[in-house]
Amino acid sequence: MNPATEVRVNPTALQLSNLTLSYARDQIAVQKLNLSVESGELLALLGSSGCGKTTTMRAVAGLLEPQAGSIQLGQTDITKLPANRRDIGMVFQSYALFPHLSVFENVAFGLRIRRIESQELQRRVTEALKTVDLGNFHQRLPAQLSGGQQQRVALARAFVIRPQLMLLDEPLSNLDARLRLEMRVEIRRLQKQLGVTMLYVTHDQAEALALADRVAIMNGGKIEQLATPEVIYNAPATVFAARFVGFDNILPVQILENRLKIGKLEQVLPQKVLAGVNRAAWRSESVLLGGNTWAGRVITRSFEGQRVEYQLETELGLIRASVESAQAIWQENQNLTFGLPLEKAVWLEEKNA
Amino acid sequence: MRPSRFNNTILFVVLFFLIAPFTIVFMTAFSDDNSLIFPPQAYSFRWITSVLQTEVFASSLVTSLWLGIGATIIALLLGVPAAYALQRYRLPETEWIRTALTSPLIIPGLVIGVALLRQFVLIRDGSVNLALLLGHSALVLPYAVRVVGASLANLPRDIEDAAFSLGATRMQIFWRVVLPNVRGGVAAATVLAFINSFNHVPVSLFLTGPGITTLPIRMLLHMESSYDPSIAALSMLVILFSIFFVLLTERLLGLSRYV
Repeated sequence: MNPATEVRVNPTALQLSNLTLSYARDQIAVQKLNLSVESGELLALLGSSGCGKTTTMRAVAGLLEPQAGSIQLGQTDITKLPANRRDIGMVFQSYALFPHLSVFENVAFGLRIRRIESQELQRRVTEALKTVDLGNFHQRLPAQLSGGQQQRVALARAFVIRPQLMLLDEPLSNLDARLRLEMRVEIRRLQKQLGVTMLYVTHDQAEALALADRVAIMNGGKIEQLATPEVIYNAPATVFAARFVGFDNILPVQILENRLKIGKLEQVLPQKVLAGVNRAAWRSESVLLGGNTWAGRVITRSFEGQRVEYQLETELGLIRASVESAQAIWQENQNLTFGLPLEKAVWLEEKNA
Repeated sequence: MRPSRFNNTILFVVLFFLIAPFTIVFMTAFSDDNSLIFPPQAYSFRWITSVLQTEVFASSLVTSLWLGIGATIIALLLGVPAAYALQRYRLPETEWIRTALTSPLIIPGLVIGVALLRQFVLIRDGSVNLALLLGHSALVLPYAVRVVGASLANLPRDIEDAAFSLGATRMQIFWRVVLPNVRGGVAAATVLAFINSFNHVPVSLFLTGPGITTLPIRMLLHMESSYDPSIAALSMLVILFSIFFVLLTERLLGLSRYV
């Protein structure tokens, strides 16, 4: 099934309606945000720092009071509910483990608050720690654990209370690259295994695309695009989204009836594009080096193993290209020609152009 | 930095100035002489025994102890929540409140003593005990606010948010998460508050009355009338007690783990 056309029938787990958030009185962080997360889904809020993604998450958690709008969890309006009555499990960027409590007691914290009786508590904590592969670490203190292990404790602590929704705020950003990949898989496995709905905040597009069922790209307190990772990756809807998911070459274009003008060159437009289009975007790997439409010169050539990345100085400005190492015959300062295949372009509209 | 001869000399001089007076006190405490001479001509335990058997010393020690313990408890009960509030709620008035709470450190004890004397004893005819207790509490309150405040400043806000989202109430967060993590600060504040109250003279000077005298005041009075080694013996016992108190707090609250 094509994920882009997949019909979703799951009930809504979280509904944000016209949510407006601000830290200072005159500083709006999030503006009239609408978002619904489906039950059992992992939805990633993707954006650079200051885009409002963490602010949104804190509002959902109840750690920040919205200026306007509402938050609905399942069938309940939780907008006015304090954080401790929301039934949401949160994992913090800093892990936020209790330094004075053992791993076991950290995980047991939420259950003790809920006065779960001792045998049941023992069973659930043990099971949770086993799920995150920390069965032998019950009596350790957080300071005696590695970053990855602390992260697992934070996860177990959040899901052991069986929340309706889990919030993960940049959970992997403090880990090293290899561990990050490992934990990415781990979180996805956990989410599937528990069947829990997750809202996941990250600035790392690869992480968001790899993990999420759907990705919401945020910019300036608004959602730029909300779609499946495949759609986001192949067909970003806005210039910002395109840049964010790796469309490095975004060029101003003019559409005149069925003709397309890039730079000084006019050509026949093979397919119909939407009205208002004024930008075309290509990934670096879509640039066809050796093609004969445009001329340029290699400024930098960097070997990345499988591929070689080029920066070209051209009549269209700076162009980034990427070719398989075996075909990377061009050297620095060498002049070359290249093409920009229209069938691989994404057509966009820059509103403030 | 490599230890040079110069550094070593400085270190030695500093240590000498710190330790020498104690040596004199400790040696004269074991004196067998009838007046305070250094070095003692002969040694014995007689002044120590005599001090321990003197009724007025014992009663003023009891006064100092309950005063120190009472003032410390009051200072902690008021100071810890105050420090927490100052840390968590960044109000424009925060700095003023902080300054007001720590003013007893800056205002001379004599002034506090006179003020409390007028208020309690002369005007309202209040109890001397209560005046002493309140005076000492005010005196040691800054330690609770400042020292515990410093510990709180190092406590990440996130862990409180985590506890909050796990279902804890504000009270539960304070007792189960905040307080256990500033134990070291509370221990340090306890030590500083108690020792300061225990050794304080100026405030007590105005507020002690007939039948109620703290140990340091009693020692001053004693020295005025008789210049004998009992004062050295008493000093040594006070020093040993202070050390014992610090060690006990360390044992109970784990001072050095945090501070």
